Amino acid sequence: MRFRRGGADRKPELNLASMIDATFLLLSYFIFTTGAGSNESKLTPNLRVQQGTDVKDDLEPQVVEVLRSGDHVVFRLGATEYTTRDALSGALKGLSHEKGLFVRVYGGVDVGSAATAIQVGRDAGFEAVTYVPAK
Amino acid sequence: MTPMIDIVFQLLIFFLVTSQMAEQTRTELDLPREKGEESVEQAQAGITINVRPDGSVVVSDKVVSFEALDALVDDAIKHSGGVDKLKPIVRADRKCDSAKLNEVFTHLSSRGLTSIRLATERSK
Repeated sequence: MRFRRGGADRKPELNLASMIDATFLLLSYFIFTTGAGSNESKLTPNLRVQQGTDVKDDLEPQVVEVLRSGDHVVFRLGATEYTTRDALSGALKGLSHEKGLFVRVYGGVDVGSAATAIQVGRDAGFEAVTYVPAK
Repeated sequence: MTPMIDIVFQLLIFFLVTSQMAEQTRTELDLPREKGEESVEQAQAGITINVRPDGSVVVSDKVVSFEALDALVDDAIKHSGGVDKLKPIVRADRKCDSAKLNEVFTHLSSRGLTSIRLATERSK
């Protein structure tokens, strides 16, 4: 039997191309996965609200109450109840904006209606809109 | 041919992984149909709280209790460098009862947070 003798000076070859491929693949994977989780907040528009309670101050802000009355949701401003977005918008535009707006939301109301009240307040020109969870 | 096949497979894997991830990072919710604010700075939220239509609270794809939420918020405050720097975003389904949203807001308030963002969705 004849064996082929490998010379002592023969060095083993290592093909680096595959290793570089795999390294770049891992690098790009980790770059994108670490970024994706934290960007969740950038995916949707949002309404900025302050969080507060009904603490009485020298300044009296405007207060919109969002509550359920029978089968539908109403927006109460003072003694007047509004059932539509346009009606509430018209009423808020005529008020003083400098003291801010409190949106007091009662249970039983859908979140969509609460967001509507906040949005209408913002569109009417109120800089500070405070969400007040009703007790 | 071998390097070209390598690159084609890499691209294929990359697009498969990233397309699935984009769907999974967001909990599927029907958000309030409002335009939101133009001027809101798109800052990092630090923590995103999802409220499902049934009232369950989801953070990072996990349903959490209010006690767990408090702990997560405390942790987020610590990491963001203070209460003033954390501006959490609440993603609540528009059909969800506001009583649940009120509870979430009350808990956030109890941790000292005053500036919160409510996620909306532009009408399709």
